[in-house]
Amino acid sequence: MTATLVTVRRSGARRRRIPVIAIVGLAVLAAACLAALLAPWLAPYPPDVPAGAGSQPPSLEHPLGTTTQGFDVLSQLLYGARTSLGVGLAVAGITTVMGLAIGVIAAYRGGWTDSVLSLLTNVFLVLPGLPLIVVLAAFLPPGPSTIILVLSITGWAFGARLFRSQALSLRTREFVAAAETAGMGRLRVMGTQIVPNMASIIAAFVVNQVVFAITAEASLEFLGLGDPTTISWGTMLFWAQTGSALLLGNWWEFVFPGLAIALTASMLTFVNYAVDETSSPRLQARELVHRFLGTGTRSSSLITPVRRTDASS
Amino acid sequence: MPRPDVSPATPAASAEVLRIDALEVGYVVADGVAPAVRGVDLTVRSGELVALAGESGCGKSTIAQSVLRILRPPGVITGGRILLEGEDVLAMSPARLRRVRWARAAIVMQNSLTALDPVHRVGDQIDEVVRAHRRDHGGGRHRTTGELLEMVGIDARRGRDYPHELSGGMRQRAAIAMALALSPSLIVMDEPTTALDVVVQREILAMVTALQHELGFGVLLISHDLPLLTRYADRIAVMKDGLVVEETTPAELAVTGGVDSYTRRLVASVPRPGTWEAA
Repeated sequence: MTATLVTVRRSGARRRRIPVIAIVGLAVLAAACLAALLAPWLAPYPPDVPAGAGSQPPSLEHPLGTTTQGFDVLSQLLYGARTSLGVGLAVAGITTVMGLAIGVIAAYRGGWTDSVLSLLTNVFLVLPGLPLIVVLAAFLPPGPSTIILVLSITGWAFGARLFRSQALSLRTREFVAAAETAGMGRLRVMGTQIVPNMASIIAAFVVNQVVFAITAEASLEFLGLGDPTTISWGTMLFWAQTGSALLLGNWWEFVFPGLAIALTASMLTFVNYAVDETSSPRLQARELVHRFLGTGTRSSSLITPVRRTDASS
Repeated sequence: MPRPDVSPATPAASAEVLRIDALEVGYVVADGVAPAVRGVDLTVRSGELVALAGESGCGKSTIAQSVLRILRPPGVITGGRILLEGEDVLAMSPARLRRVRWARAAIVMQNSLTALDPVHRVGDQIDEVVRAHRRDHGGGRHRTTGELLEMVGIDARRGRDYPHELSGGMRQRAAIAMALALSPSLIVMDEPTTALDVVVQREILAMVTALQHELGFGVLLISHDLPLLTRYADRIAVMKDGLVVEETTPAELAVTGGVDSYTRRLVASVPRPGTWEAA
């Protein structure tokens, strides 16, 4: 028995399985980023110059149709990806890192550090979001970097709150005490013991922030606080609405940018599922059992499954 | 339900409350199943204390958790039968299993500090078990939480304490009180006293056997503490590498010193003050 166990483990441990769903998510996101970077070469028309008659349905000439004003939808979609994905990923990255740093340090250090950082977090949480965004944007020079800055300043506090409460519960766990007993420094404990155990909540926050930033960016542009001629998926939706695309039946004008946002969010969610699974060995064990039994995802209630291998029953 | 969920503890001394036939349990790994229990037969009659002894990793806790099917993933039962008062646990529906758990077979874990919820009073947690099963067994009379605590030697007033306010021994006693709440016919104890000192261990097992005489429930006791088992168990099954290598009684064991070579080693490794040679 001992022998089989060892060989089985040895061969199993090498293969760290990456779920298909994660590969799909990452591949689609990578393709979208690549398309955004290559927009000047890929786009059939310049995005900010009318490329033909307005309100044309998709055709060979305009694969995704034209807007009411005659802009090519495909070209706008490709150029818009630069702003939307750039702002979305930048804001998600900055707010997650800020939230993590402030939340985890507050929870782990405790005492006055926690009081100060929690006060700061709470102040930013009670500040009404949109008015603050408006005020800040009005004082700063317009442009995507201003929008990133403004959304990051208003977006990190919720993350800090979330991560602090999670870290508070983790830091009382025995393995954290064990790491401290083993002489690990504070930063190492936070980095190697606490943060990895928060992987799935961090991933969920990132997805949320990307979607929030993509839509908030559009709102800002149209409050006149950014550059109103900026092309992004959000502004495309806005123009579709003001140009009465819905009334005119120009579905291609709002369906494609809408799909782009939805697709980005779904792919991030795919990656999120994968993070959940690979960061939790327990879930992986469950997955192993499902595959062994040949069943789909079953209820998670605690009932040991039975699989008969003998013919008698 | 055609049969009552809680059968009164009848003094029919020979009734089998648990029968395990050719049980096989394994843990799923990347390319197959690592067997942990490889065909074990075991019976527990009412009023009897059967001990399952063996080294760490021999499969004894796996069996304990299989009885109520609470073994977590990647554990899978791959063969055999588990009969609880004649009913096959492995064939039960999830709903049936939920009703049977605790009402007919309860479990006491090794570390009750993690099993007891830290934010609820001990008494409330015992009550909660009764309330959770109330619908299933109609008007059956239950002992009050106070009575249960007194039965295990805890002052009824301590029911108002939170788990962290009790000592390790008291927490184990409270866990046993909780196990008794619905008068089950079987209590599985998975190393219930391992974390406690020798004197408290004996007190608790003496209490369990006294309660067994009074109430008639059967006990499947998992332990690696042979001296303790020889004193309190009616029968001892010694396990090694997923198999029962010897099934014996304390009296037999005292005479033979174990028939199986592993049992002999286990018996020989028990320290006796004064007879211990410097190795």
